[in-house]
Amino acid sequence: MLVLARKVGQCIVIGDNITLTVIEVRGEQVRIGIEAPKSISVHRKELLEQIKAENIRAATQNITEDQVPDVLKK
Amino acid sequence: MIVETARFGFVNVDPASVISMPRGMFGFEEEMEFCIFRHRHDSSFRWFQSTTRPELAFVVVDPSLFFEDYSFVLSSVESEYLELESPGDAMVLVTVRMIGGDFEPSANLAGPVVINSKSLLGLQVALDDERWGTSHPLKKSNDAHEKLPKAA
Repeated sequence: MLVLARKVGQCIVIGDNITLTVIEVRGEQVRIGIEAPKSISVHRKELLEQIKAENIRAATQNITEDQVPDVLKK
Repeated sequence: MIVETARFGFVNVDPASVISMPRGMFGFEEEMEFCIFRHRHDSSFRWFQSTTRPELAFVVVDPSLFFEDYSFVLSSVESEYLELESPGDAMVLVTVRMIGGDFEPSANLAGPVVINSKSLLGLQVALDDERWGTSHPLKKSNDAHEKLPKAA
């Protein structure tokens, strides 16, 4: 992994059109600004991992058709 | 076309109703075609069944039936990817998991599946919104029976 030291206000450029800017450092938290083309999706990694994990749990739940409620009332 | 399923055996599916998911579901990127089966005629639940992997099926539900305030904004990339011309063309489904020995249903509102109902092109979207997590109970509330929606 490439590791770069940056100060607040400094940037990292990835490829031709992605720029990361260190906006603020407060304690253990870093705020990062991201400029990227709209075609690049940007997500917090843990969000994607949470959704993937939930998909796997949902897909591997060992339920039969009979264990799904017939009607669920709001 | 005949689709082999683990739960329903061999099912005859209208090829024109098959949903194309070129990016798959998160964690299941290889399966790119799904069909939807209703779960019993009077149920809100449906099955989102892979046409290529018999054991892969998600229980899904229309979230608007249970979460009145559920809404999200698709990015322009996502709506362009789905070739959506108007919001009314978007069909939204969320996966449901039965939790615990009581099989309490719980919906993943952070990763809805959005389908262009005209072209049947679908995409699972990741919502970076702290309101919507991966496990929201589908509560039954006793005072809302009058609002019981008809199964879609």
